[in-house]
Amino acid sequence: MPLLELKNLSVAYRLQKGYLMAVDQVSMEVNEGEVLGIAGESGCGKSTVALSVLRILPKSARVTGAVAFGGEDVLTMGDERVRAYRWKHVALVPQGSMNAFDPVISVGAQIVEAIRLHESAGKEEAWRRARELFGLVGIPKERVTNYPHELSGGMKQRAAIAMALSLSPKLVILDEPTTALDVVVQKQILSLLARLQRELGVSFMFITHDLSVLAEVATRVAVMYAGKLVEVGPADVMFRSPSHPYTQALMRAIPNVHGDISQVKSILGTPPDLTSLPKGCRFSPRCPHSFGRCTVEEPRLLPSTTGSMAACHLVGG
Amino acid sequence: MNRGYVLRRGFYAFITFLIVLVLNFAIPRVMPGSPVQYFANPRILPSLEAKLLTERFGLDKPIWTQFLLYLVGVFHWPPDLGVSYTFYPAPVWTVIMTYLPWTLLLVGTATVATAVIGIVIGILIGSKQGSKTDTVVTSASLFLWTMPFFWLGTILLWLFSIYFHVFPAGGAASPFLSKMPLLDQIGNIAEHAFLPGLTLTLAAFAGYSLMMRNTLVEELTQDYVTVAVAKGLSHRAVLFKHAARNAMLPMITLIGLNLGYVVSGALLVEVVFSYPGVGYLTYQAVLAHDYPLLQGLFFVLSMAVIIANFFADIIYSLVDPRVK
Repeated sequence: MPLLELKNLSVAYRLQKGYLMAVDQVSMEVNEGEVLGIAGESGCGKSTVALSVLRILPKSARVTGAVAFGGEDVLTMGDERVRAYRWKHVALVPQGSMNAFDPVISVGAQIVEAIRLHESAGKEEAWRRARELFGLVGIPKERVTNYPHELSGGMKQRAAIAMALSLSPKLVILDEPTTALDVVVQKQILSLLARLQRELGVSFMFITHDLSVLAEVATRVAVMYAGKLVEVGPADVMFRSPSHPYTQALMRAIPNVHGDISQVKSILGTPPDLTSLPKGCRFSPRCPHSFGRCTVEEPRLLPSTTGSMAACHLVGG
Repeated sequence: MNRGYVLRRGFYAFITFLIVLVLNFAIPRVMPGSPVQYFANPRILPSLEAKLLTERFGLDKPIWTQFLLYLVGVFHWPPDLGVSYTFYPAPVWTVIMTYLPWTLLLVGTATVATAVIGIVIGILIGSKQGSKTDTVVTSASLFLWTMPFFWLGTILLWLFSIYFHVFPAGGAASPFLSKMPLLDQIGNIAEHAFLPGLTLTLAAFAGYSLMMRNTLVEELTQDYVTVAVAKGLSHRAVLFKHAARNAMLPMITLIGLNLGYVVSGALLVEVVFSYPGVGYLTYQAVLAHDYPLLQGLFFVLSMAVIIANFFADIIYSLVDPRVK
């Protein structure tokens, strides 16, 4: 049984008039000890997926489908149960975790808050663990009493990771964890994450718009486009022989240090407006291989010849 | 607490105090006319008397001697702020001190009540942004906010004192207050302060509630709030431990500022309710061209604002670690 299973998950946000489908019939799973990377352009619904796993979507969101964690349906949990489930089983390193901490409370106190909320640890015990967690993510332990503004960007990111690991959750959702950092710090954070994941055996759901980041950490990669899952498969397959034209285009957009810069191709056009989607395949207006059927019929997710699952009429049936 | 920060704030407050001192000395002296003219009509006052008065006020001395005497007076205890024309020969300080306790009671209580009520309502509507409660309470707050103090006061006065006879129509206490038992004294004072206090609170709480609402709504969109919810904190805990606490920060400055202005009294409301506070005194001083008294009132007000701001800054630095 997978650790986390999303089945036909759809999330619609209520607008002034009508709804906006941010996530449309997405199914995927995260297995124990693996790193699932979710990639896609901004607005493709990847962050919404993350928020629905923790059930912390805004009130204007309407969710259908199922989110099962360890076989338990998250969407139908009672209030008490869902609060106990959050952080204990699934923790979050939020998008731009520069602001993950309350600015007027010390970082340590915020980690202690999480520990004492879920476990019957005493104050001193919780602070001792907070210091240990700081050591684990490579921040000098005495800085645990610092306020967020007293830490550098990279340190804040590490502290956010420490807080996410404070209850030894089974799954950590990392939403663009390296986006706001410069390349050198980004590299350090990625190797820290890879090391922690190996040592602790925790699963990651790693959300990013930067595929090159996933190349370093992901075991499997899922690619989303305009609220749809377009391709998912083992990382090596996805990087070496992607099947969906969108995945292929994303791969070509990654610059390679050893390659020729003229090989780097951007994807023409912009993602569609989610309130007025094109008929058929959502990628068809930007797809170089688009043909008649693509603008009429929406493709289903089917096995490709390379070992991934792709939603494209050129792949499979 | 950071000692350097306190010293620096204290230094700024002191500089402001010096500037106020100089302005308070200079402004009446650059105004046209002589105080003696205001004190009594020169056409009636014999020139010898005028000369004596000029000497009595020390206006015949060179300007720097006057400034020195003024400084000596100010740093004296009780401060010598001159003699009031209207209450002649009572010193300005004594006059202000007879009116100030009533104002501190009325406006002080109302200012605290306004802040507390405003903040509570602000949290209530800010945490339910977009709901029916929010729409109704926000509109009602705006309605009261745009209503002039004196108009609201007049309506309340007419309704509760004249029509229903529930509250006294004016004054701060009944004439025979000192002959009453203690509990009745307190009741009597409270009864007199209720309507003007209610007016002040009703007309001003929206300043706090609307600001608190908007700050809170913005805080609730911050990432740290998402994290707090994801950590499994209850709605209440997220609201009070994190979001409202951050939204309170700008309120501290606002409360400090308003507490400073308490000593200026509430001119319009005190006039409407004939309440013997500093506002009412200011009104009388303006009508009587009582410049020494006005000068004294401005002096006391400036001091209070400077001191209140100083303490607001200190408290702010205690609750917001980012302030250095």
